[in-house]
Amino acid sequence: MKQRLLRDLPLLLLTFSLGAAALALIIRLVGASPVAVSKALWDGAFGSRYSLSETLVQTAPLLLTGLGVAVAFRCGLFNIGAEGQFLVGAMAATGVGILKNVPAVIHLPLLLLAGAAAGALWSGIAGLLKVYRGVQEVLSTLLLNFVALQMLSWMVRGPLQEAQKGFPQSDLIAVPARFVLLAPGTRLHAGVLLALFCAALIWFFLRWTAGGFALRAVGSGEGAAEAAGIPVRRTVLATFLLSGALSGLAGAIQISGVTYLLSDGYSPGYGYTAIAVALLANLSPLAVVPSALFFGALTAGSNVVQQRIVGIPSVVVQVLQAVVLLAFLAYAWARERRQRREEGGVA
Amino acid sequence: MTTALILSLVLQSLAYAAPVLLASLGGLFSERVGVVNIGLEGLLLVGALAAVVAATVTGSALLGVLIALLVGGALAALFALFGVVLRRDQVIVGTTLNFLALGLTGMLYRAWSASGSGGGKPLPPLTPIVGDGSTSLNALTLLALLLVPAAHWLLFRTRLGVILRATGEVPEAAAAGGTAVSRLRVLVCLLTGGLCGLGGASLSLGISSAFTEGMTNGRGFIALAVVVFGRWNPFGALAASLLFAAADVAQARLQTVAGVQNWLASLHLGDTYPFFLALPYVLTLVALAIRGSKVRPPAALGQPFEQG
Amino acid sequence: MAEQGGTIPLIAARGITRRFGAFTALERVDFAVRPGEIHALLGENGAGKSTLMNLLSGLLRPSEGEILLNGDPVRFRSPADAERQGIGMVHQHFLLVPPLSVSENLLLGTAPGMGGLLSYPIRRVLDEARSLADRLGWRIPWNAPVGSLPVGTQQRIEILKALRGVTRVLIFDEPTAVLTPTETPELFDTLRRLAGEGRGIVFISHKLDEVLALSETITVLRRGRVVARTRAAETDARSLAEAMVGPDREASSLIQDGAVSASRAGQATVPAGGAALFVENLAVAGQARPLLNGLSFAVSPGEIFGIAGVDGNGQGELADCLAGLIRPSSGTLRIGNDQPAASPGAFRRAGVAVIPADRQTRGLALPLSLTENLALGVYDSPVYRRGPLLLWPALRRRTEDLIRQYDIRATGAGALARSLSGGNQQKVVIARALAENPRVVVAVNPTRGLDVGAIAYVHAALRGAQASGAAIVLISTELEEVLSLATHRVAVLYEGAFSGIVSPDSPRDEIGLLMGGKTREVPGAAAR
Repeated sequence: MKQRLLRDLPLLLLTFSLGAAALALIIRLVGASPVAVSKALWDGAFGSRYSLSETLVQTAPLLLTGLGVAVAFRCGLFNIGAEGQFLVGAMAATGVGILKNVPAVIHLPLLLLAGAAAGALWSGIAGLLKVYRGVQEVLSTLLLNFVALQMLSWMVRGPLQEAQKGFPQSDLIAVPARFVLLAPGTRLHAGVLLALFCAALIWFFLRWTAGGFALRAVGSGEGAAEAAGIPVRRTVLATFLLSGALSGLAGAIQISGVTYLLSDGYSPGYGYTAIAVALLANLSPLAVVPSALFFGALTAGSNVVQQRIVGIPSVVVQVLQAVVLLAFLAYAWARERRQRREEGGVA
Repeated sequence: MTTALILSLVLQSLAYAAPVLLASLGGLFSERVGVVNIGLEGLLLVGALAAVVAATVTGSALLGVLIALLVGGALAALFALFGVVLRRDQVIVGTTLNFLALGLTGMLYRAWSASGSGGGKPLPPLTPIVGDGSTSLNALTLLALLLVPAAHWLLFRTRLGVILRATGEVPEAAAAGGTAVSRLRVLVCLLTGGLCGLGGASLSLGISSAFTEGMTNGRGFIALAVVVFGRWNPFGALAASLLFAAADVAQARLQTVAGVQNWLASLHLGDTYPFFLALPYVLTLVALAIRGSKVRPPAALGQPFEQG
Repeated sequence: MAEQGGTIPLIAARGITRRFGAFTALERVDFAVRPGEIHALLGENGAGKSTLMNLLSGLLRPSEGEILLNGDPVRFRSPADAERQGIGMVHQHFLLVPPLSVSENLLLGTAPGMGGLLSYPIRRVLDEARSLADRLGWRIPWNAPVGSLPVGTQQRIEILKALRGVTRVLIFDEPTAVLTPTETPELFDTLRRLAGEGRGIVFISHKLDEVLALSETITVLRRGRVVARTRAAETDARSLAEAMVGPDREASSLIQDGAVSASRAGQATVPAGGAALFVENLAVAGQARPLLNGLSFAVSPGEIFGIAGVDGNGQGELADCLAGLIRPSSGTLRIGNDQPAASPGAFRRAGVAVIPADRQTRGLALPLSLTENLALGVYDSPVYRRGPLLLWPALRRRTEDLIRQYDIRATGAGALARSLSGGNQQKVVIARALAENPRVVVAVNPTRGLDVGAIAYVHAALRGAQASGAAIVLISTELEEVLSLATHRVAVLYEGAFSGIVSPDSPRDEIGLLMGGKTREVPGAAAR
């Protein structure tokens, strides 16, 4: 295993260098200096104690949504709706967070539960449509993202709007519903630890439990799983719920750990980045942790890039993601090709 | 309602249908040869920007449209490289393409506006073929409509059409008949890119007369749903995209009707504008649910093919 | 070796060797077809028949040696190229597009000489095909979707596709495998007629009597070499079989002992008392006509009940009913005294084990390990489960045991199912089916696509299960397999119903008639 990794390293470096070169070209094209951008990116991600904490703060939602996507993909379900599930999770969490008269001890758990449940519900729509109406989940989850976006837009102007009715945003959530901060002077909150714990939990679930086995069996060979008596429909539905719950939880953690309020355009695309996170991790729940850290660093870094360098907007992170993914796809192709050649290449 | 109003509603619907229709024709050809392209959204977006920039710089809407066509094709070449030649999962490649398009158009558009290239020069509009002002039909809309029977003829009344359909069903049979399956799929990907480029141009030049970031707003995804809803048939795609465009136009008009406004206000829902904006997506979902499992996609959809 | 002087072969292979990596599929093979000749290519699975035919039809290129077309060396660039030069090919697995009409399928295969890509020369294609079909006496619904037509008609369309004005050589790959016994003589008539028009016919088969009945010249391949070439008139089935199988066969010994039967020694045979499987009036509705109609039978412990029939006569639906995958529209299905709900899990818990027809999609989850694949059979058993947890260490030990017991060749319990050979994949499926001593085993085409050794292994495993008291339903389209394994009775499935239930010792021609739908009441052999 380790040997194979070492042997594949040059290939990995090559494909990612190609990606970096392409990226540098794009940055030059819009009139900025690739060196300055890389410097800002590094500073923003790892340059100081604060930027390090920001990287971790960005990692948490990516970790959870990335897990959500990975779980779905492992079951052979193209849930591309983590973004929408994240948003409804944030909405539900806000709804609970701004409630008064909730006993302090249960306010945070209740908020998290609401977020997870809302995410599960949202993703469950796609699950029901797939299982009972044969609607491709790729389409339904994507469309649900847009519906969630409009729902958010309505929520922050309607039911969840702040009492003063000034801006399209909610009131701050109650203090007991917030995650404790872990390091003074930073935004690092305890929700990051919860996200990490979830990664371990999902790993355990997939590896050791009968439910996780059913999920993987359906994803690896639906026909064989069905013939063996695994209830395919129920597994698919449950996977949609689990996947959505993870993304919904991400939204809730973001509310109670970082922003404390809901606003229009709430997500900078965590749910889409999650797809890249899951793929780069090869859909392994443990590998999602470093993968999310990598994209978290990119996101934190690109925020600084945007502040510091003229002409490079925050959407640069999307280009970054695309380039990373393409490099990874190219790498996977080259590795497969080599493997096949080694196996003798029988036609 | 007066005839004038009806006419203007119809023409507006046609104009709104054009981007989705063009993209869905692209998607339809792709899926007919067995390629599933989630990247229609990104291709539309890139086409929309290319058209605006090129038209402004050259001062010619026609050149803008042509450049959009080429740029759409160029980005689609990237999709074809990864999704067909390197046989990566097409859903993943398409999703990546969407990231890339969203990020690139955002960066490039800002750089372009900041550099002042767009400055003084006005954006030349698409010349209306019929009528003028709000009751008009531009060239791209007309082209989109004409492409429907053309696509139908190509698919069902030519040898090439037989080959295309066979490639999406049993690529081995097409290959045995002498078709280079991968090459054909790459070419169709380029065609799809070109059609989406045109669709993007019809959006930015024809409807909005401007480019804004992420302006496609899921039209590419709706186009994919239109392909399914239209049963992989060009006339079906036309009907479906008209339906969605009509709903789009209707919701926009409905909001301005005083009675509707009063009724909504009486419900105390706050700002109801997002409801209308969400309508096309909800409608698409409902349409897909109704059509449901009764439709059968091409048998080899999304399957990689290796020449023996 | 028979040599025909005089005529130049239409196509010939001279000293051909073909290697795939380190594996040599063909070694210095000579082969020739002359005008008007029907030349049979005989050999077992993996003998090199397909490789040779792929070389002759332009799909592959030789590593060494040359191919001669009318006496001149030729290098086909592709099957299309070979076709243009007169070499037609009728594949065993049809290369037809089911939703397209017959005429469109013919158009798909036409050379571009007939108008450009944007033309639609369907008339001309049809005219040509019609005159051919008329000459052969075929009636074909030209505008119907190919997928809606019977297999025999689909084969005719394949023949029409392969047959053009220029075609001088036609290669048939196991053409009778998909046909009913009544369709086969019609195909032979066609082949003789085509040869009579001066074409050369290559007939690939592993069925001795067909080869002897039809062909003039016979070439036998074994392990990539030509081991015999003879005229049909100068040989008999026995010597052909010997040439095909070779003297050094270890298969027969495999059937006798082997790990499987050994592991089951000592288990007492359950005496034939009540039936282990009881089926009455089973029916599955279809769109036009019922897919299964009024099937009744019972299988006792220790019996192998054979179900023969040509593919597509309801085998799939019957197997799915017996596996709990589909719910019959009417009828009763009992396992012992249980009547499990129509779900694969309930059937498995009631004691039904299934060896499905398609091991790669129904049998195994290819990306999963052997432990995981074998766990599919017991994941809900309390022995391997504590609450929500699966006891993977125990499952792994069980896998290691089964690997030994069933002689599965793999790198270990963690090996991916994907990495195994076809025969070893089937061993995994069989190990999973038989490991828990099922009351009823349903085996569907259990040896399809396997080599001789693996076939013997599967047969031995089924006999072993029978000996230890399982009731076995063997559904197979290989008549020989059914007749040799069935212990008491063979039912013939035709259009969803039994056209007869007979003894496995019945004359072949009688069973052949039943397979073709010639229903006959067999007194005394009806369902018990």
